[in-house]
Amino acid sequence: MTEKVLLVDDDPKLLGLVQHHLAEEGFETIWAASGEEAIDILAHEKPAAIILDLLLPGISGFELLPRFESEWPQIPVVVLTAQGDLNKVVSCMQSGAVDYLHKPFDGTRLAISVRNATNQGQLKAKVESLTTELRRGEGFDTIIGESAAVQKSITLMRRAADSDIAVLLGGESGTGKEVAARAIHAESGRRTGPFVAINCGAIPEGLIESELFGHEKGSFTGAIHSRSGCFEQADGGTIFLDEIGDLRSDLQVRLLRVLQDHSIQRVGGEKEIKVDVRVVAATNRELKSEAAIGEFREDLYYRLAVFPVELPPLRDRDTDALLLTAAFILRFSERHGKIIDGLAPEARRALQSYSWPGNVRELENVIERAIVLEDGTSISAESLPLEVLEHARQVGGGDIDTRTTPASREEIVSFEDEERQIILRALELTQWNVQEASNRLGLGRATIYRKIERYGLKVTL
Amino acid sequence: MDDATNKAAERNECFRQLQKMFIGAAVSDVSEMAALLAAADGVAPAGDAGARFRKLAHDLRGTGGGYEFPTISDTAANLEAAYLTESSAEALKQSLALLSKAVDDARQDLDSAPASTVE
Repeated sequence: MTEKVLLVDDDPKLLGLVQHHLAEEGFETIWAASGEEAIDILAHEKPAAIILDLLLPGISGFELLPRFESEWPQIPVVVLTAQGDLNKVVSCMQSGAVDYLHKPFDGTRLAISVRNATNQGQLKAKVESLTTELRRGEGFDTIIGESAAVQKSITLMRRAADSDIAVLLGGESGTGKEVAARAIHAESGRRTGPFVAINCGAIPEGLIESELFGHEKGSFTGAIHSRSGCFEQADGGTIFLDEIGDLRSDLQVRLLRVLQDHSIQRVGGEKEIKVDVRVVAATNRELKSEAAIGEFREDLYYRLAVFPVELPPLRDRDTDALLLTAAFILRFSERHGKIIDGLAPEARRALQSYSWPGNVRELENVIERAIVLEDGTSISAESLPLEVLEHARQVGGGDIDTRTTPASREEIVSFEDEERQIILRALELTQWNVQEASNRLGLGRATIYRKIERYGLKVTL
Repeated sequence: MDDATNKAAERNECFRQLQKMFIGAAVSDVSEMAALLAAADGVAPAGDAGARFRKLAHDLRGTGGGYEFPTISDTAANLEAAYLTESSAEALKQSLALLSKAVDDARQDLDSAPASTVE
């Protein structure tokens, strides 16, 4: 297909010349004599590049440049004008032009410039498409669960995501606070910026200050180079401060200052460095109570907890444990090269009845371990840890097979049915785009195709 | 003649036709500028007439060189500059005369040059 180039210039004498030179490169030239006409054309045409004059009747080329950049960012613009002022060149490049040619121009130079611009436009489109592809599976879709408790948390986080508001994620250990923080970042306006996570409780006391704020060369023994900290690295994006309740009190003061002033000072440095960072913090402690009795700075607590969201423990998430189990079996059987696509009834009952004190992380570990141990095609009770089976036996009155199920879990759906539902739902949500469905589920495409065949799934668009 | 040579000749002839069309348009533009200057009655054209005068000079400056007539671009650039520096009607008239001569010379050169042979 011939690529089109839109020439926006009110001088008809230029059209033939541009057509002549671009035809050699295989381009078809379409013409707009004004900015208004160009906008009309762009409403229904998508040229590979735009050649823009600055001196136009009506909307000037200077006014058009930012508009093109915001409405048609994938179309590169080459400015072609008789105005040779250097400041104008700089201003055009800053407004998104990819090249600038002076009139009168050399035809070969014009053709090369337009070819480079279209190549650049194609690269930009490719990068954007790959970035979008990578970002799939980073948002709230990654949080598996249909229970009312988890859906309520997702609804709250979705509301918070769009703004720059500070979010404090609460919940027991293993409830997925980092996954939630990543989802908030991925669905926020900062998604193209960095996401930097730091566990305030896991970094040795002597290093945490430097990790957070960076340091200048020579500021302490071993500081042989200057280094940026997490706040600087997260500039333009989101910083996730996990286990914020474990932060030393002197660092709580420094953190409060960062949140108030939006600037940091490196360890051993004197310069104030401006940072534009959204803060998502998390804790598994009762931070509000600790703040009330002075064990955590109250002013910092209220800065961090502008929008508190509680992530529910797995035991309060109805049948989510089974949905998660199905997803983990798919993920880990593929990772470990096993063909496991089922759950023996005893194992299923044990997983359902266990209270999961370590929450989703514990379930994930249990399933991965079981997949590694399992020789058959479904996970048997023998592959589960003893404490899970013991608990099930206790709850079930000593006999796992005859245990009475809790009222809320009376409706038992087979594992295969659940797996089938998960895959079908992913395919329907992605309009049967197998690549996208496999990305979102964290599985390979081959696995999805195998499951489609196994369950006889049919396209339902 | 081989294909490449034939194609080049065809392309040259095509460009020559474009040059002729350009010169035709340039002659017309110069006439319009002369009319605007005459209508201004001894002063530089102002208002819409002035904007049009400047625009015609500006466009010839921008396109002349592209059609391989650098003198047209240069003389048109001088005329535009004279207009922008608020030169007298007489100075504009002299500048326009130089542009007119450049266009006329270009037309004569074009007419006297042999056309490319296209098989």
